[in-house]
Amino acid sequence: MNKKQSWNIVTLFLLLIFGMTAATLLKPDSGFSENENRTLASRPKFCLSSLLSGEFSADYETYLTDQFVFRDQWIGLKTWAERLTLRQEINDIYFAGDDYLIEKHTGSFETNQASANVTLLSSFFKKLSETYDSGRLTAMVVPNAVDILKDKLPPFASPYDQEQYLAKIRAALPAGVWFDSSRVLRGHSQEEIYYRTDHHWETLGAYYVFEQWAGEKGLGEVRPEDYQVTTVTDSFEGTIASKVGTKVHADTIEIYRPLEEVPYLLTYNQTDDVRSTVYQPHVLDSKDKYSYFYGGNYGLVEADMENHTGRKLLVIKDSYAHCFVPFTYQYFDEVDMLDLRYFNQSLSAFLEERQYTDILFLYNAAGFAEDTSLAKLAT
Amino acid sequence: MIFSSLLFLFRFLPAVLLLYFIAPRPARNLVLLLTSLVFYAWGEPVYVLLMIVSILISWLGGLAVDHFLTLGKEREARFSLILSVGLGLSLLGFFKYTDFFLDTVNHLAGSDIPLLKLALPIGISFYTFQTISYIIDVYRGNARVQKNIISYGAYVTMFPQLIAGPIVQYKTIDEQLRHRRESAEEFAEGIHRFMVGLGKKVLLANNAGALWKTVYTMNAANMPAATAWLGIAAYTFQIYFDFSAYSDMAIGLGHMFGFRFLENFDYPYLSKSITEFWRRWHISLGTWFREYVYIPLGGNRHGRMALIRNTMIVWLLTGIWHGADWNFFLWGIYYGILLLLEKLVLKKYLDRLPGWLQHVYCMFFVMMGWYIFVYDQAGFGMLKALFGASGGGVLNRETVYLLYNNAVLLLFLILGSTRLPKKAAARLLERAGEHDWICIALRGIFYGAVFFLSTAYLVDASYNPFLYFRF
Repeated sequence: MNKKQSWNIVTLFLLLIFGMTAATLLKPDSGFSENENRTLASRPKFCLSSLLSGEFSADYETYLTDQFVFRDQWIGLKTWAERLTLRQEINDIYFAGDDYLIEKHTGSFETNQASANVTLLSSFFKKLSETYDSGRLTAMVVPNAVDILKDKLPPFASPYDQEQYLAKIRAALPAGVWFDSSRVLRGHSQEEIYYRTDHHWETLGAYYVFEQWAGEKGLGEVRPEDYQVTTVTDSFEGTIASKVGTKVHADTIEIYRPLEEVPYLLTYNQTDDVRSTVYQPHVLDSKDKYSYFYGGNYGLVEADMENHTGRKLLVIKDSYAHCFVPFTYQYFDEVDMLDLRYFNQSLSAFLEERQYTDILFLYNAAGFAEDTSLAKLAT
Repeated sequence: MIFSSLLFLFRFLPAVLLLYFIAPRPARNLVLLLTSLVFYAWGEPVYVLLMIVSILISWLGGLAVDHFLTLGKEREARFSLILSVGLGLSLLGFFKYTDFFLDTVNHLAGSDIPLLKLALPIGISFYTFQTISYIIDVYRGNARVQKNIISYGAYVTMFPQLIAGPIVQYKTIDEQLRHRRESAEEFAEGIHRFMVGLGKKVLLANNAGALWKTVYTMNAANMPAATAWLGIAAYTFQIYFDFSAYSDMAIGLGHMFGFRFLENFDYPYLSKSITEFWRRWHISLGTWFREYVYIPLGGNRHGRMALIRNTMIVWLLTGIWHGADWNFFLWGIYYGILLLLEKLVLKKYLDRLPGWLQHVYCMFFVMMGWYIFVYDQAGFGMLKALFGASGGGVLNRETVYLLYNNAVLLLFLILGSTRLPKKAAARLLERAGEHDWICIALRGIFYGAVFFLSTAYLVDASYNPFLYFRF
């Protein structure tokens, strides 16, 4: 390199380094990443003890990464580069057929937590079956998209077979309690039963499972023509899209409302937060559009209807239940939805007090395997 | 702190560049010393004191050796040498090998002596070897004594080479420590080496490492042979691209501040024998052992038995220099035996083989070497898988999936292990010839691409391991 070239390269380099440094320093910190749906790390407080323990340096590096200028665009650039090298998966997400982004859930099912959760669920239902008829109890762990949409996965992809794990749960439960949602969903694997960009199932998937479950539990016949299907948004980019950072095929969210819908009242967290509908249109302007159902996760959402069936249902659930539970409102006098992650009372005392006639446990498979609050089932 | 981090690129490096070039010439070694202490203390806030102690011991040792030599007191000079080198080695031994020793004693004697459980101070093996080389060279008259503690401290702590080498011998940069000329040409050369290193580390080594991690976290019990070989190949690439990238970045940063460190890697995977491999791999370590252990022991001048003894001593030490554990011990012995075999028996037969076969021979043993090296991740199951004894057959769906997903990466890794990219770039620039702006544009595009892509990978917090925490 001659002098002229050298000077130009040096100038370019210094511009890059100092320009980017200035940009990262000037960018104001943001508290919450709407795109990633999580709180970003904030500037760590400096003190001598945290410096000596190395905690400060670690926290500062996380802070710098989280608050980096144009963070989402950088992540998009990385995805673009990886796709260019023919990678079929990025950050454990398959770029599957028909524009589906499908989480791989590597390792979720082979942890101690995953096996401990099976034991916790099994003892919970064993105890319940002392007082309940097995026809009134349901344990439903819904497989994730990766397990049902196998046809869409990249060639030769061989993710963990969730059926192995589900079979383990089934075997640990008292007879008649397990509901096989896999079989139902597998029968509809060519339909839009999972979101393309989000980790949840679509209302259509929940509908098919509900149809089958209602039949088995003797709730009555469920027919598609009894529902009106409405599209509430067609610009839903879910949690998986955020991890990828590139342009995606946006999802639509559909809701199924019975033509003859019974009125209901929802009571949130045993407070005076009372609502007359599950659907929360104001969230459609935000990123987290799945919260259209119920507005997000709450410890307890009680629904009261005037159906006079004499049946009271408790649903112990994660967010997969949010598009499923509204279907049940036609068939029970009361349906309470309990999220163990946000519920801090003794569960056995709660069950004793409420005297439910039916109990449904509804989680998605990966969520169930990874959940750290199932110990509350034994409280 | 590591080079391949946002913190280094967008906080530390700009700060150092600013301070260094604002400072008047005589103060620049001080700037390097102070910033290097910050660099080290960032990750090792307590052990920075240990490093300072180590610097003081060796600096005083050098002064004493020089003092007695000028007075003609050979015995006292020798004593100072042994004392200061001994102290340096004791610190290294204590922090690195005590638990290994105790654990071995516990195993053999069935005793239950509690371990110290000390975290290994990062870079201690590198800087201890540098301080030892300094004292010995002063004693031998190969290096001038450095009376200025700031300059000497700057030499030992200099952040470019502090935590992952190369092992810079004092005599090679003595002149540059006293008066050096930074220049735009040197700086631009430094940018080139730094960018090449950054790309090798973040874009190639880390991705190869991610592939290796995918393989070693699989169940080895029924792993097909092809998957195991793909895994070991990925590790083979990871360690080369990672380690040589650190050296590239170190050499590049050195250039920016006007230093010229010696090369540390010379396309080792192009070698046709193990002997050649070790002439091209981690050159600064090989040189160190030859100059300060092998030759003082007598090298090969006292017959075959002495040659065997000396070689085995050197390789045993080389092995445990890489980590205090039995697999590194075994890895050293493995190379000692291979090198002796080549020297005493195989050489004449190997030379008659066609070139490609020599290459296959060499890479087979190098890869088996890496298997031993990375045993704590690979485990015994993978050895069975490598030789088709795992019951998993030759290949499965997973193997095919991994292969085509990583095909482009593997192509880059293979090409990157050869001289082709360098030659192609040279030809391209030669063609541009006198047209400065074309040369500038070509370089700008390359550096910009590496820089932006690396930043993207770092912002996404992709897999970015530090491999030398046991060295």
